[in-house]
Amino acid sequence: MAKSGENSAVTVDKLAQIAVLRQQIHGLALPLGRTDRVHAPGLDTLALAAAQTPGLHEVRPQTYRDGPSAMGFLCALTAMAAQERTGAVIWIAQARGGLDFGRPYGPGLARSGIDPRRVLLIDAPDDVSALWAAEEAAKAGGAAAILGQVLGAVDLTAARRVHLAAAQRGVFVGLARPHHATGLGPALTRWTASGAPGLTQTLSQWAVPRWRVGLDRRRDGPPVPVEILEWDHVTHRVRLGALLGVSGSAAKTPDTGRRPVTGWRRAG
Amino acid sequence: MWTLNAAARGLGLFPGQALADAQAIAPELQFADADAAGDQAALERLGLWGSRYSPWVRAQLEDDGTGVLLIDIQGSEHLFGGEQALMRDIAARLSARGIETRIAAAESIGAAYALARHGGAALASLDRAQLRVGLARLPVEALRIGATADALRRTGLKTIGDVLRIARQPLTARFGAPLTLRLDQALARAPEPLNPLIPPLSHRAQLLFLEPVLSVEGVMVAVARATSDLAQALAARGLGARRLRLTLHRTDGAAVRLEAGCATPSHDPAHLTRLFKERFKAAADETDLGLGIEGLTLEAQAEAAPARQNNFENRADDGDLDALIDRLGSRLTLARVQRLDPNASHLPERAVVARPAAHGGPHPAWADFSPGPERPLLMLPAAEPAEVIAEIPDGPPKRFRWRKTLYEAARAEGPERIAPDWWRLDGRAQTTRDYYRVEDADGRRFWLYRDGLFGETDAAPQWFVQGVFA
Repeated sequence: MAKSGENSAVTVDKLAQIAVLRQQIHGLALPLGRTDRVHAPGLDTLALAAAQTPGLHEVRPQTYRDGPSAMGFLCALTAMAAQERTGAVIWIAQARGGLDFGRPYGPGLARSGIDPRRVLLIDAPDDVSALWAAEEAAKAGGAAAILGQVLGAVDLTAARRVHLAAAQRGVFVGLARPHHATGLGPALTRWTASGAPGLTQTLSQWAVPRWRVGLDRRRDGPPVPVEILEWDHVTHRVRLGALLGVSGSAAKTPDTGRRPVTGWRRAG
Repeated sequence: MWTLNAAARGLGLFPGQALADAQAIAPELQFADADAAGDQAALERLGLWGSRYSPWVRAQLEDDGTGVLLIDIQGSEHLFGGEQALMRDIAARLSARGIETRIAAAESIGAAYALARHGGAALASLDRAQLRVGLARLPVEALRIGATADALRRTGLKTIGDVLRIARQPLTARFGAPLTLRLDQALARAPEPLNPLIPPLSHRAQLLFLEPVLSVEGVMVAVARATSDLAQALAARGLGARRLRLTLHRTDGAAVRLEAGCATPSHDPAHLTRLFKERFKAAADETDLGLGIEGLTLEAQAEAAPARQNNFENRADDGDLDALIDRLGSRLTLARVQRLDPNASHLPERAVVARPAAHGGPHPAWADFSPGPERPLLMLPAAEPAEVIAEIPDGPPKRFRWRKTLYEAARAEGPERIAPDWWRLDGRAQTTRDYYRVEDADGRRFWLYRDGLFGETDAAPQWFVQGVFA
């Protein structure tokens, strides 16, 4: 669909902006947990750092209906983790039917930064098998990043084994958990994601996956409240989403009622 | 009476006798209904047991209830100390289980069968030179010719020797070709293939234990030895195992069978052993070791060891990935480890297919792949109906109800019209679909389509949700 035209000037501007941001990101990309900086890093930086930190990470949707958004954000983390590595992206799905949102779709994966050619899709019959497969994949080598889906309670021993294997082999493992999941796992970071409305009525905005993301838990650092993140197709990184320029009916809705901006769930 | 054991026959009972008569002779007689299907199944279990002697085993149940086990021992008799020792071994093991046997070894299936069933001796063998003489004294029934035997008898031909004296042509003309064929087969003049119960794979390694092994760990040690034997043999020929079958021979005669597959032919003993470790874990409930395992057979379907195919980028770690595919596949089944392949179809649900990763690397068609129009990250297994309020005829959804939840559309985009694959003739897929991307006020994004156009039929077209965007 037509989207260029009047946007060309803006595009040049944006590219310059992106270059600046990219430099900033490179400067900020520090290991998780280092909090000795005066300015706390933004959520985008933390997301990148998480993706680059081998081990187990978790993403949950805010509500059941945010499942796809959580999956999208997890996909972004996985894409960033797999970017500079060779090997397969292991996607461990569970087709238990009912209320899930289906399986990854090749062309859609490409839109979210994951090359469908690299994907090894594993259809796990249950949570135990899913965690086992994640551990095997982490141990095997040949995996650039691992994305798994756990539907019920996570077995702590199994999760710890996944984490240790992943940390040892230097692989990112992202687990999608249900919105009602409880329990303090061995995960390095735990994120909550929900949908974020687009900014304008222009069609180009469709190309940008957006989420409201909060970092509920990280080791050696305080939780970080919700911000809007978007996927950047040019840099293949997440970036802080623009907040201005809201128009149309979407203007009414950022953070109302349902969730206070300053409130985040304490881990555990 | 259908069949009797030796003790009953000793009392003068015989098959075909009425039960009342038999009970009059032997009041203590124990009897049960004949169970042909059960006999057949038991005989097949015995056939599996017989595979400890050779992979070529067939079991067949005769009309009179006698079970016949055919084992091709050519090439494997030396493992058991020769033909005679092998037959004694079979006899001893079966009689220990209360099974009466007549065993014969001969050059042909027909001769061995004739000798065992009609020779009268418990153990017998005939080598090639004696074949004609040995068979000549046996009755014509030994030829496996059914009713033709009665016809032969009516003409006074009672033994195979009698039949052999008749010229071939009149014999064929009078009694038909099957008779001469059976005759030739018995005399090893015509080939008779043995269709085995389970077709053997191309390579095998076998271990028999002196003492029964009782634990899974013990069995795994033996499996490791067998895989290393087999792997060595395969590696020496530049081959790799593609499919593996492990048969555990239990002391009680039952056989436990486990199978595993490889994504790429492998002759790495450690890898092959690991596959069975996973299979043991996955099948822990079904693998009953009984009172112990007295031997095992490991068979492999071999293929030329690979010029690597399953690679993503020709890197060294592709071998790791193949090994991973095998290991995951051996526990979850290989069908559950998949790759996404593009497919020539306009219909979104057909445009990508999942295919077992063990079948090879990424599809070449991905090379021309471009993301194209906006597509959802997740696709529902099947499009789900939704109640939609939209402007007629082709406005985007304003409000829709899906999975019992009402969504208000804040933004929508479309339609993207997708025509059916007209070359397919299966019913439902024949309507044109208009796809819309819809975002609700909270930023959730859906992919909906209207199945058909307004005015095409009397009924309003149905809407479906097919996928969700990230």
